Amino acid sequence: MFSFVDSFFISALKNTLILILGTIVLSSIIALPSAWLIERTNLYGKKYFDKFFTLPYAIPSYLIAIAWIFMANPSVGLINLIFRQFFPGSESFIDIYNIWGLIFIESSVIFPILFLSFQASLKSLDPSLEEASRIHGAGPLKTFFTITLPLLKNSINSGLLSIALAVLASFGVPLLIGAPARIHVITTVIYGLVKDGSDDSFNKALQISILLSLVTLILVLGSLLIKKRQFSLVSGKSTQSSRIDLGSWRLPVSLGLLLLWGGLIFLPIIMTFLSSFLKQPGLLSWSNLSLDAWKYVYSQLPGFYSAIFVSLQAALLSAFIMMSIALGLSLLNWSVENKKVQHPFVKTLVPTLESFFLFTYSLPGTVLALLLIILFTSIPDFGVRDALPILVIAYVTKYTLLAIKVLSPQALMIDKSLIESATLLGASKLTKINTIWLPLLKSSLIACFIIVFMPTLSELTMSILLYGPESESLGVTLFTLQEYADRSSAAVVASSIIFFVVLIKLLQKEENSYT
Amino acid sequence: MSGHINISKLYKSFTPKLEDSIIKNLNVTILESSFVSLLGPSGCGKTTLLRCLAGLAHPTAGQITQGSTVFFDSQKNVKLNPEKRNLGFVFQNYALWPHMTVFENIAYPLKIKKVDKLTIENKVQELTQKMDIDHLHLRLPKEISGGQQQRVALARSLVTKPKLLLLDEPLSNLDASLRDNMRKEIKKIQKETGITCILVTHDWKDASSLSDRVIILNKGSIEQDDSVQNIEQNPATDFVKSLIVK
Repeated sequence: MFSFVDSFFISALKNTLILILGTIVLSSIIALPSAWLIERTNLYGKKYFDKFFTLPYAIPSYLIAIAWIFMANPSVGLINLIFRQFFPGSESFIDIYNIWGLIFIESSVIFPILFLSFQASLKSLDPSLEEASRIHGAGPLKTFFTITLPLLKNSINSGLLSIALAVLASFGVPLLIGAPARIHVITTVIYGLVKDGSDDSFNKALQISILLSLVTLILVLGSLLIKKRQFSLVSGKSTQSSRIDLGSWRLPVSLGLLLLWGGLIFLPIIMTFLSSFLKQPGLLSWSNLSLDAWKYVYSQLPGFYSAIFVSLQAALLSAFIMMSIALGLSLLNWSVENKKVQHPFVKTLVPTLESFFLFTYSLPGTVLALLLIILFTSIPDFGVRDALPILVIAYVTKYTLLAIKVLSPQALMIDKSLIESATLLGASKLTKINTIWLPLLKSSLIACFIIVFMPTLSELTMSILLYGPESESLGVTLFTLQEYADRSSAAVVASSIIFFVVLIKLLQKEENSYT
Repeated sequence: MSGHINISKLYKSFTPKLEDSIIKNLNVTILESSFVSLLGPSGCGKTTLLRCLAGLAHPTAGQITQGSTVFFDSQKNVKLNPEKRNLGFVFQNYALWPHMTVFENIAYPLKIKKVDKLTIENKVQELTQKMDIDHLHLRLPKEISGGQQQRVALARSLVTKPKLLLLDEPLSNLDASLRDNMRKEIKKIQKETGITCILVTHDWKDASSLSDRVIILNKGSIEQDDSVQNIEQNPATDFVKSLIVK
């Protein structure tokens, strides 16, 4: 027992803790003020900030890591090369391969978790509580620190715990940025042990995974407890609310936020695109631009189309299963809440399943994949390595929570009279689902599809442990390209994924639901 | 220095068009130490007007002054922030901060002004004793009754001794007997302190029992502006009649 505790593990544990703390601090600095500015002041371009500030939430985090490697790799990073063009012979300007780089990139992909939860609680906060503070003599900042922050303390704490969970589970960024700098975290240690192949290593990996599952369970329970203690702040009556006039600060603050957005989000994206057009990595000149990499990837790169096919297949199939589970649970939940079903088993089933999916969602993908491998190798005649089904099962286990979170509250808002009138007219259960439920929930179902389809399409953490020769997914292909230093092809694949994500984001209309 | 409130040529629109205004070309003078009610159905612009006075909303055009202090002036581009206007405001839902005790709620405006601790304690004690809520100091807002919450909100608005008190339907959440008590309480405080009060209400009984003068608003314009007695005896329009019958 505990044979995994050696100096390597201890140092990985230390790195993980430093990474968690650093990311919590930096994410708070980014997320809290920006969410407040967007939600409470007369900032320029609020609508666009609102839509695009949390873009990293939709883009797979390892893509952002790859983008920063394109930019800030000490030898061939674009920023460093440009810097050296002006100051020949100098040291590199920035180096991303260290703990600060890791914390920075981790924060730039994880801060949306805190941003979105803080923004949601700002929206639900009765505006008159802050207005009362202004009236009684406090300026906007004083109000923020004495009223807004203390009132939302529990919601912020639970957001910070979610960040801790996300960092604990993160794999792509530590693997790409940490590993070259010999900064290992717990998930990359598990990955290394599994890839090592020996029984002894596999056992160690399993032990660490079980420990990590317990820690995750405790953190999840903690965040649930904190959420329960939140003040009830929603006002019964919708009151007029005013936005804080930034006055002469309006332009500088808006520009500052734009700059932050540019540096955190726009720059990595645009650099990825740029890198895909460079013949020689890192050389910025007209003659070095070409479409060669794009032509190569889309016509010759072995396994590219099969990877797209595998990912599309797995993502579509798992999205369909997740939506079905979410719809079923939402309908059950609705029936319980509206007292249509009184059976004690059903009453406990819904919250139990929801907590289960919350746990599997929070569980590091590395751990989840390992547990699934163990589960399926114990079933005879189940080909673990070559099968698409295991990818689908992994995705469904991981991401169903997202589908439930979107659908369930929307379903609850449907008034029971709408369903009862159909019952009175003699509609069967199936007819009601087809003619009332599905049409009413249409826009929520679309949102639900997008939110589960996008992360599965480009999933890396679990796929990299579960893939076989026939089921190499898009994420794994991209990671392999990056590992074998085919930077321009990697940039092309990364650009294609980002392009697709942004396209979906732009096409997705504002929530236009009936409920 | 006189502290009359002067509102002139005031417009407030939530769209860029001035024709859509919820308040249209409003001109009102409110004398210092008077008690004026703004009466009208929902959507008539009364709450918006109160929020413009408080600085929680900014008018589209016009001017608001208190004595020589300019609250708002669209031509000179003056917008005084709410915290600079030194007024009291009682919200319809009281807006007591749930994370602070009754004492902390009432002491907050003094604390912001950096008044020393002992003075804060004395001032709060004096006020809460008078309003019969001094035994509640250590309770949280959710632990006291609606009527008590109302008193706390009132005390919080009065603790800095402002010249102007704005009341946004403060009685609408109370039951009938409590309402009667509160009316007397508010009236008493106003008489004692000489504070200028502006009350927003849709209830003729609240308006008539509290104020010296009632301004009846309809679709953003003044329908009638007179003393309680005159309005009761000579309602200017059918609209006014329908309001005071209730």
